[in-house]
Amino acid sequence: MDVIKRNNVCIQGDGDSILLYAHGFGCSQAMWNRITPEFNASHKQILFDYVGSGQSDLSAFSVNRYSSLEGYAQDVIDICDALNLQENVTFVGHSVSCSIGLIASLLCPRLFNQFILIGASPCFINVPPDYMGGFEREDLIDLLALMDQNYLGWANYLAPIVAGEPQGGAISGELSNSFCSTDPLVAKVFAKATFFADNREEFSRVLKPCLILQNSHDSLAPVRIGEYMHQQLKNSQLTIFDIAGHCAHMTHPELVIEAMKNYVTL
Amino acid sequence: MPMNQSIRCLTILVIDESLVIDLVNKSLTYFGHSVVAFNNINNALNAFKANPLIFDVVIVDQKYSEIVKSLFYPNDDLDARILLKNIFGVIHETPFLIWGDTIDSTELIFSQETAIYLLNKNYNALKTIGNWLNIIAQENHSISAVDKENEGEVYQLIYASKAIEDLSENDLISILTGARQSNQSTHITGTLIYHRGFFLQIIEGDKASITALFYSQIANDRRHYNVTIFHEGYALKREFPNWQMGFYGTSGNESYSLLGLTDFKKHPAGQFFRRYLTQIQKHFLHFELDDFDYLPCLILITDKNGIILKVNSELLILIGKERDDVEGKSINELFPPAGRIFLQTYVWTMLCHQGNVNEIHLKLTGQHNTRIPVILNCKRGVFEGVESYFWVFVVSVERDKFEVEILESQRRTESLLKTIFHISPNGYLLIDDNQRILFANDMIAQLIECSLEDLYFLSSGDEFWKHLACYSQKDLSIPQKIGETRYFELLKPRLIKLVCSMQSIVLSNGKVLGNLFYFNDITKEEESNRIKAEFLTHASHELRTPLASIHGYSELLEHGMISIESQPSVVHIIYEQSTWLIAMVDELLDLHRIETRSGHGFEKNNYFFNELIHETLAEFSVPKERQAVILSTFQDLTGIELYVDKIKFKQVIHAIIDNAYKYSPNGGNVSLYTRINTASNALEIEITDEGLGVAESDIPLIFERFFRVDKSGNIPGIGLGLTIAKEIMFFLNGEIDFNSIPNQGSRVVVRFYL
Repeated sequence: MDVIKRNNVCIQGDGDSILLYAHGFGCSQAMWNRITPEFNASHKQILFDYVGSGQSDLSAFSVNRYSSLEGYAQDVIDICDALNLQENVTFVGHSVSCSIGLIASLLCPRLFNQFILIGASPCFINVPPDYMGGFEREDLIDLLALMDQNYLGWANYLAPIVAGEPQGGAISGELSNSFCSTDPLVAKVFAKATFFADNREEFSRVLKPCLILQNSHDSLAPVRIGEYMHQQLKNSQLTIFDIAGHCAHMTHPELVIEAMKNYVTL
Repeated sequence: MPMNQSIRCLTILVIDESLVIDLVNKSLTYFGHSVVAFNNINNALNAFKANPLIFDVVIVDQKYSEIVKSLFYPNDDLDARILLKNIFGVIHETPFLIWGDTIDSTELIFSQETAIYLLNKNYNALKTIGNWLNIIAQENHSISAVDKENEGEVYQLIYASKAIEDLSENDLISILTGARQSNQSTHITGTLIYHRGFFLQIIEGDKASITALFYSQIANDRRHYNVTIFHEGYALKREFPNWQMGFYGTSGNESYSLLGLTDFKKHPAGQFFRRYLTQIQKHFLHFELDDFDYLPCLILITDKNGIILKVNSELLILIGKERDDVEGKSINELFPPAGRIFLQTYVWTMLCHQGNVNEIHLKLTGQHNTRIPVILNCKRGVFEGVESYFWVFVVSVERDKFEVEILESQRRTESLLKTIFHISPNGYLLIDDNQRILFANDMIAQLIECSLEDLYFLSSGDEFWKHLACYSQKDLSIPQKIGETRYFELLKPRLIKLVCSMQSIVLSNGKVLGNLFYFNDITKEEESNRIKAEFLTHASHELRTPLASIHGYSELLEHGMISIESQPSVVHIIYEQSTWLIAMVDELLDLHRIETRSGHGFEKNNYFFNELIHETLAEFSVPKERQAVILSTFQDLTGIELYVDKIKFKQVIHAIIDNAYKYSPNGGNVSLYTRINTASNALEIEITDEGLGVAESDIPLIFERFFRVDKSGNIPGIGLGLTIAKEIMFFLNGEIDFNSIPNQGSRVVVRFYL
C-alpha cells in the first residue's frame, strides 16, 4: 500500500523544521491553504488527507479501522513512517485532528516534538457533572440525520436500486474538484468517531509542548474547553483569539500565522 | 393626576378663540365633561395656577404659546410651545394638547397623560377630541378631516366598541379595506385605526410618501406610553427621545421601510403592528416596503465571523424573536446544536473556501424549541462596504417530510433486499457502466474475505475482479456479454466452485442500471455429482458381480455342464449371490422409503432393552471364521425399556456390526458395550472393532450416501448402511457418533434418548 498516494500526501516548502498539518472533520488539506504560503521559506510542510477525505484513496477505507480515532492516528503514523520523519516535527491539527495527533504521539512517542492545536476538544459530549463538552448524545444523532440529508447523502441513498442514476457513491468522481469531497458513508463514520470520542484520559497523559489556539466564540470548542485542555496538557500554553467560529486558520489566517510563528521559533 | 381605570368625565381647560371654544364646549359637554374655557391666556393661566389639580386636560391653541412666551419668558430662547408644555404638562403634570394654525403635521404633540386618557380610558373623550381635531384641521387645512359620515369614522366606532381581544385579523383587513375605500383610492389621509391599544392615524399619505401617527399604550403603566409622529423617521428620532416605531421614507420613487426600533420590541402594539403590517401594506398603504423585509423567504446578512448584521422580518416572525435578540448575535444561535456543528464543520469551511454553498438542509430553532427545516443558500458579498455573507433560507417543512418518507421507504426496501439476499447462498453483484459497485450481497463480500461495508469502498468493479483473481490459480475469465456463463474455481478460504453469469438490469424507463453478476456456488452440487458417479460405477460393479456368477452358474446348469455332485454347491452359490443382490436392492429401497416417508410408518413400541439387544445379536449371522460379538455392560439394565421400531432398531445395529466385521478383514474383536449416560439421559450402545479404521479426512463423509471408505472394491457394500442407520436414528429420537483411528479400528456410539 502506497501511503503517499493513499493519503494524498503533499510536501511543500523547504527547511530543517517540519510542519505536519492534519485537517479536521468534514474537510481536506485544502483548509490549510491560507497558512502554508507563510511557512514555505522556513519550513518543510507536509499536508495529507485522511483516508476517506479529500483526494485520498477511498478504496483503502475500512469501516472497522476508521470507526475510532486510533484508525486516523494510524494514518498519521503511517505517513510519518513512509516519509521517515524523525525529528523537528511540529504537528498542526485542527479540531478532531488535535486528538488524533496526540493519540498518534502516545502510540508512537518518537513522532512529534510539539503540537499546535487549533480549535481542539478532547470530548464534544457532556459528561456531567465533571465535564461539559457542549453537546448531548441526541444532538449528535440529529447531526447524523442532517448529514444524511446533505453530503449528497440522500440522493446517494436512493442511488443503487431505486433511482438508477449513478450518484456520488463510492468513487465520487464528480466531486473530486470540490473542496470537501466526502463520501456520505465515510463522513458518517468519521462523524461518529469524532463526536462520540472521549479522549480526556489521553490528553492528560501528554507531556510534550502544546500550543492551544482557541476562539472566544466557538460553539464547538468554547474557551472553557481550551482552559480545560490547558490544565490537562502539562506543558501547554493557551492563546485565545477574540473571534467567532471554529476555523480560525481559514477565517483569520493572519492571527494563526502569527501565533504559529511565535511558537515555532521559540 | 388621577389615573383610575373606570371611564370618568374630565374637567378640561380650553384656551382658544371663541368660535372654537363654543364648538369644544358643545361636543365635550355632550359627553358629560365639564369644560372651562378661556379666549384670554392671562385669565386662563390665572385659573390654572389657582387650582391646577382640578383640570384633567388642558387644550391650548398654538398661537397662545407665543403670547405666553412674551408675557412670562420674554428673554428666554426656548421655543414657545415647549414653554407652554413646561407650564401645563411638565411642571404641573397635567396633560395638555396644543393645536393651532401654525402646527404642521410633523409637530403634533400629545403629552403621555393626555393620550392615555384620550385613547385608553375614555373612548368618548377621544371621540370628542377626535371630532374637535377634525374640525380644527379642516379649518386649518393642515390635515384632512375625517367626515363623521365617512366610512372610516364608522369603522373607527365599530372597533372601539368591540372588546379589544375580539378583533380578528379579518376584522383588521376589513377595516383597512374600508378605510382605503373611504379615502378615494390612493389618498389615504386622515384615517384612524384603533386596535389592541394601538392607533395608527395616517395624516398625510399617498403611494409616494406618508406621515403617520402611531399611538400606543400599555394599560396601567404610563411610563410606557408614547405617541410619536414619524416622518422620514431619523429626524423625528432626535426630537422625540421616546420614539419607538415608525415609517420612514422619502418622496418620489424610493420605497418605504418599517423600522422596528429599540423600545418597541416588548410592546404589544409593536408586535401587533409587525404581525399585521403585511395587511396594512397590502390593503392600506399600497407601497412597497424595504428591499427584503417581507419577501417570502428568510434573509440574513452576517459579517465574516457570522455575526448577524441584518435580518428580515419574515425570519423574526418565524422564529418568534425580536430584532434586538438577533442582530449583533452569532448566526449559530439560530440553530440547534446539531445545526451548529454542521454549520461549523461543513458550511463555514465551504464558505471560506469557495464563497458559497447551495441547497444545504438545516433546521432552525423555532418558538418553544421546535425545529424548522429549511434549505440554505449562502454567498459571500459586500454589505455596507464590509465583506459579508448573504444567507437565504426557504422553509421546507413539506419537502422535508417527503424526503424523510422517501429515505425511510428506501431504508425499508434496502433492509428487505439485504435480508433476502443475505439468506441466499448465491452471490449477487451489480456493477454499473462506470464500474461502480451498486449492490452486493454478503456472499460476494465473503468471496474476497471483506465486510459488506468495505466492499462498497472498493473503487471499482475492476478492483473486485482483481481481488477475486487472487483466490484463483488460473486467470479469471469474466462474463462479458448478457447470458454468458463462466466457471471459477477459488482456492481459499476453502475450495469453492462457482458458475458466474451476467444479466443486465433494465429500469422501467429503459435505462440500464448495470450488469448483475450472479454467482452460483456449485461446490456441493459438484461433490454430490461426483459421489453419485462413483456410486453408479461401484453399484453396477457390485450388482454385476453376483449377477455374473448367478448368470454363469445357471448357464452351466442349463447346459448340463455341472456334475450332479457339484450341483448342490452351485445352486447354493446362486442362492447366496441372489440373496446378496436382494439385500442390496432392499437397502436402496429402504433409503428411499425412509427419506420419503419422513418416519411415518415406523411401528414403535416399548421393548425391554436387554431382551432386544440379545435378540438383535442372535439374529446377526457372524461371518465365517469370525468370533461372535463380545457383549458387555457395566450397568444392570434390567427393566430399561426402549420405545422403538424393533425391525429398524435391529437394522441399525446389524448395519454397524456388519461394517465392523467387514472393515476388519484381518480379524480382531468386535465388541458391543451398553450403558446409560446419565449426563445426557440416554442409553448408549457402543460398537468397536480392531480393523482398518477410517482416515480423518473421510470421517465427515462417513454418513454421506454412497460414500465408501474402501476405494479398492475388495470390501463388498454400496455405501448406504450407515446413511440408512443415521436416517433411522433420526426417527428413533437418537443419533450416531463415529470415531476412528486408522489401522486401529473404529468406534460407533448409537444413542437413544430416554
